[in-house]
Amino acid sequence: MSTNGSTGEASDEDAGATIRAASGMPLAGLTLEAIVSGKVQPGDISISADTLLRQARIAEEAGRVALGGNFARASELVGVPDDVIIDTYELLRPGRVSDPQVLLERARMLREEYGASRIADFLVEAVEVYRRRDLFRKRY
Amino acid sequence: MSDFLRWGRFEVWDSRPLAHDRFAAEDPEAGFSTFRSPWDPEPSIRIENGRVVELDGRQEADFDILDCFIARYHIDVDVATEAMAADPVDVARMLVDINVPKETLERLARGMTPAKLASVVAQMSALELTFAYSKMRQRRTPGNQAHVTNAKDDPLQLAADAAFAVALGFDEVETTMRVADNSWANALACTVGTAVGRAGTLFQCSIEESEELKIGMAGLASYAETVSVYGTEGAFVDGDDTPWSKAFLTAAYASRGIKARCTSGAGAELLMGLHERKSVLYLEARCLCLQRGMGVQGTQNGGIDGAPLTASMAGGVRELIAENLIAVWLGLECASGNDTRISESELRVGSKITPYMMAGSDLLCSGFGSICKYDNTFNPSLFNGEEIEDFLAIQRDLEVDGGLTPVKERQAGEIRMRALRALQAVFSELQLADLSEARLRSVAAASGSHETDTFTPGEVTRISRKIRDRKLTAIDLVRALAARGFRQEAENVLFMLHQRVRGDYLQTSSILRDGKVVNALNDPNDYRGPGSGYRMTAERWHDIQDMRKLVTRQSVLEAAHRTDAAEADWLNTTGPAQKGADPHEVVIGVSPAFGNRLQRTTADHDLVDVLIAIMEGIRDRGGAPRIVRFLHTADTSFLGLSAARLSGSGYGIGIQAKGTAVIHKADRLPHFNVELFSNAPVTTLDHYRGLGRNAADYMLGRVPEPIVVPVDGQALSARYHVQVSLLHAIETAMVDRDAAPVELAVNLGQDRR
Repeated sequence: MSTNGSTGEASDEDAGATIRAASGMPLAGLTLEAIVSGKVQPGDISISADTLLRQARIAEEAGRVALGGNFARASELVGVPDDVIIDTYELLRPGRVSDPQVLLERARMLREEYGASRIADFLVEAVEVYRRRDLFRKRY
Repeated sequence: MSDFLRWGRFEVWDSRPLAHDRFAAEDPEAGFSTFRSPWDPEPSIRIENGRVVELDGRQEADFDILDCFIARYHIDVDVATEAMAADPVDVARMLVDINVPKETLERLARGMTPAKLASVVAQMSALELTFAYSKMRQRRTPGNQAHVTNAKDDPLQLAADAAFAVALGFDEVETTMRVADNSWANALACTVGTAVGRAGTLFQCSIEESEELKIGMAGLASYAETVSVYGTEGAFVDGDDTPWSKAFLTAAYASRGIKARCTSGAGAELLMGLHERKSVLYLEARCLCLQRGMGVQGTQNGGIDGAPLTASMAGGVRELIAENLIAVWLGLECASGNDTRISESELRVGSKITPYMMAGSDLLCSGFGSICKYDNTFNPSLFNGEEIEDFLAIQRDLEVDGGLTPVKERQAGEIRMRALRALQAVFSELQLADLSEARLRSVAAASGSHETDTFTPGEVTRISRKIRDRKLTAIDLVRALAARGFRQEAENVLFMLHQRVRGDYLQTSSILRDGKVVNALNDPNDYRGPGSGYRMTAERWHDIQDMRKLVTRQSVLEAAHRTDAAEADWLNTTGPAQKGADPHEVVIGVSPAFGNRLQRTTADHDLVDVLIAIMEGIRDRGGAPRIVRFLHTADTSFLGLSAARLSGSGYGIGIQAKGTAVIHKADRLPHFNVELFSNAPVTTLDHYRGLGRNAADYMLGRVPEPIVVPVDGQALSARYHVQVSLLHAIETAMVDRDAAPVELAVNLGQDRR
């Protein structure tokens, strides 16, 4: 069984050499030796926004437009810290907030601080639907 | 009309496993309808200025959260008018037509509403649904997923069982836990276990959404499946989500390089009491349109937790295939259920899996319980640890690839031990726990957690909390494995971290085989009839065939010839056999290999004992046995008839080396015998003695009770016919049609006669 990282291509055979992690570290730098010597940080095992946009393009070219849209939204979340992501997910769950402004404020924050405009639009759209369907109602 | 007795057969039926199953009456108002409820909407769509303003009979102002999402993200308005106008029967025919490309149908599906999709698959029989599934499923190479859990949340057992699941060939391993706080220990242990043997097995830790995401972010899971969606607004909200929260979650997983699929399935809304009186198929069609719109690459559907409830309904299992078909028709990866056990009846289980075995699937089971039933923390699966070899046998029977490969005893033992040692090293290096050799060995040998002497529940929870609170990640795990000499396992975990950065496995239907991503893009299902689509390689087919304990010519011959060389030649030829004159004579006609090349019957009796028993029986009744070997035939009937014709009394016995025997009479037709002893595997020496007695009784003109060799319904053919045919071939190979019969003498020394 090969464990060579450069053999895992599915859709873009030449991309291996140029792929970088979210931290900017080239994939080629993600080696056992680097980990053992303590040089690898969590950002080095995370996908980058560029790679996700490339995957979005590949999906769209294969006729999978909705899948591409998901990858494009995902690309905007790469730079968003874990806790902010988890917290935003919580806010989006039904009845977590009774004031739509909280969600709109989160949309603004994601747009302005992280450039996540697709995600922000998505949140704004959710607010409109939640309002109409009476989901800003505390459940616990 | 009261003149009746309760027939005992009903008691037989009441005692069968099936009697535990429940069959539900059709009752659409209570949510019990499969394909069509009177409350299901008629398919409809209205588009104004590129905007969907009516969906399945509902106006935009009345759209619920599902309608809103489906209208905005699923419906392709450029295709909708054409797709909605198509006749459902015509589309159903296209689905089973090998000349209509998959892409043509996928395009139409993007313009169809949930009610329209349901109306098409409702036209199709179980066979047609299965065939269409084989054509429409996304990845060409089939795969499978395992559940790896145990009743103690024991990380040791998880590691060993995960490694075994990898050896069996599962592409994905899913765990969950009894105690939520144990999730981190579960995740770490399974990550170690799936790194043993080979790289590339995807792993997920199923728990509450937020926690699962955290575990994934730490690199201790490579895919997520618990992105559950529901077919009514009420059920969705009770499930604590909305389409928007779930779509956000899906994007969040992708943003961390984690493969994700949604989960939905017939019966979920019914179980939650929020079914809106709709058919389970229609509700599932809504779920699937929603999922496509969310941009998730795949789904786990086909009932899932609701499968037993759906299977209780008439046509329910057909419905489960239908909803899987809608999933793949929408271009989604499909982990096609076959997980929650739908029945206590093994026959219903076999029937349930068969269509999927034949059609193939991205992941046949989601998942297959690779552990014992009682250790499955999800619930018993359709197939479980106890039944793995049954599944392997079905693969072999139908010559299909269900994704699994037989594992030999030694290989299983070595792989389990390696996983246990690796986890022991990791726990020690990361100062999580010290493991005694006794515990390790206990788990290595145990089939399930009932047999293990291992961590206490409290110890596991403390380990899990340490992993979480110290924020340990896959990086720490790789370092620990490498530091303790588990370099290959460290490389294998690292390989999965590379996949996260590359993201290729985020594309539809991705699994990893031989270090490569294999998915719907680089391995598209191209089934277009015979000669196309997935075909096993010769090597893969060989592996599937190679079950444990294969019967071979050599193994059969060795078993049948088991005798001491010094004891050979107990049956000696004394000269040509002649017609006898003694009216009390019974000739025993033995077959060509009897007592020379073959020495034992299929019941494992020594042929010496068999022959002595028959002769004793004949003498008991005053008969005179004479032994003749025939070489011109190996057939029992002809042996018996030939013996009768040489016999002075006109009665003879024919017997083959494998133990099949017959009493025959000189004036009869070959296959019209006096008594036949055809079930050699259950024929005892007493039966052979009785055979001799009866033959002598017939000779004396008496009418004895025929000897009954009792059988209790065992499938003797399944148990013995392999040996029988190989043994018989040895006899037939020795036949010489021109050879004359010879007289035999039994030579045992002293008084064994």
